[in-house]
Amino acid sequence: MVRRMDSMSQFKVLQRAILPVNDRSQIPDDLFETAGLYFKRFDEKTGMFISNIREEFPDD
Amino acid sequence: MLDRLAVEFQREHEEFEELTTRQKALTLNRWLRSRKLLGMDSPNRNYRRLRNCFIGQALRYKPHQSLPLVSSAIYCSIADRLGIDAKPCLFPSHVHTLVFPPAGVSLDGIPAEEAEANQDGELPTAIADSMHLDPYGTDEEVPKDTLLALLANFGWQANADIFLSSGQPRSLIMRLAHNIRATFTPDLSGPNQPEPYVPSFDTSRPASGSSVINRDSALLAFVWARLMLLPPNGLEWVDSLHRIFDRFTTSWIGDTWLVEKYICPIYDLTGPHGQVWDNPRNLVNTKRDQDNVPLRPRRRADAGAEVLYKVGQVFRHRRLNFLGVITGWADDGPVVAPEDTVMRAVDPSGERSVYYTCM
Repeated sequence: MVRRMDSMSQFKVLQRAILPVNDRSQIPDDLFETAGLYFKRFDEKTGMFISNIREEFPDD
Repeated sequence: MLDRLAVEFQREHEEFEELTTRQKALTLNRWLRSRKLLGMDSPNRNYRRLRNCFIGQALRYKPHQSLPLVSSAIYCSIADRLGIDAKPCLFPSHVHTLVFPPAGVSLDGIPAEEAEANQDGELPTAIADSMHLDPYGTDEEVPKDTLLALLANFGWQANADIFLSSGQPRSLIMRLAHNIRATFTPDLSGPNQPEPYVPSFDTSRPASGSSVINRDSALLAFVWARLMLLPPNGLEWVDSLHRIFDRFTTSWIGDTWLVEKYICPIYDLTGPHGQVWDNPRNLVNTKRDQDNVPLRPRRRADAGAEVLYKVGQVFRHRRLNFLGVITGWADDGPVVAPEDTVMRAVDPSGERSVYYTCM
């Protein structure tokens, strides 16, 4: 059975289920494309997207 | 592009104006087909490719494959630039093209006064003096008898007038919308398989843009086409409206102003129907109220437990193995499992990115 998830919706993930990935080469192009809905820029050094929601999350 | 093609055709056919309408139509058809600008190779593989639904894709990029409807549109557009009156014709399962002669003259150049009236003394009707073409499929004219025989196979010969005459723009749009929608239904006859990843120079895919976002946009176009063209109290309309509502709740891409500007008036025209919550204006107002609530900043120091990751962090889900990006965090999620510690779980909200299959 094929299951497809909508790539454009947000949902909650438990902290303990998270395995951080900071290696740019492991990130496929289509993740970049959909991340563009939420982020404008990406930091190559840290391998993280740059937050643009500091109003809601000032410490991040 | 269409202008350029028309000019090119004219340059190659200097005596075009002296031909009869029928000859002009056939010449254009042959020329376009010989340039491989119409039709499709391997239709069993390519018919349901999203890219082939779009006239821009078909014209700009080789191979210039397109659905019959799009091939017909290309033909009619260029014909129009050359002074030929051609229109798409919504024949079942396969759109054809109708060509009409100019007023007062027949397709073969015979002036109207000399045309024979039929037994009832009436002059030939518009349908009688028209020709059918299938730019998608063939160089030659398609005789009416062939089309009538095909209709008879479907049992629809009584409605021949409708199927053989030119289509209304509204109907053409819905036809294309259904074709777009159909590219997303899985192939029921073959084995179930996800579309394989293809590199971006593969011309069977739309030539630009994320495939995920293209898919989403194409389906959205289908929903909006229904909302704008179908009667507002039909089931299909209400179903389409609900899909728009869902979009508001599952992602921030709400396009509230679009709903307010175009859908609310349509709904209002037919008076309140359905349930109260079906009224799009309620959705619009709720959304605006939500948008006006100032955001309370969430600070890490206030969280019930330690927040380990930052907004923008890319991660892989430990169990479900997909990739996501953190877009925020909260410490008010539901308590999930007995092995949770005394501290409340901190839930970063993440974004799922990749299609996956499971058995």
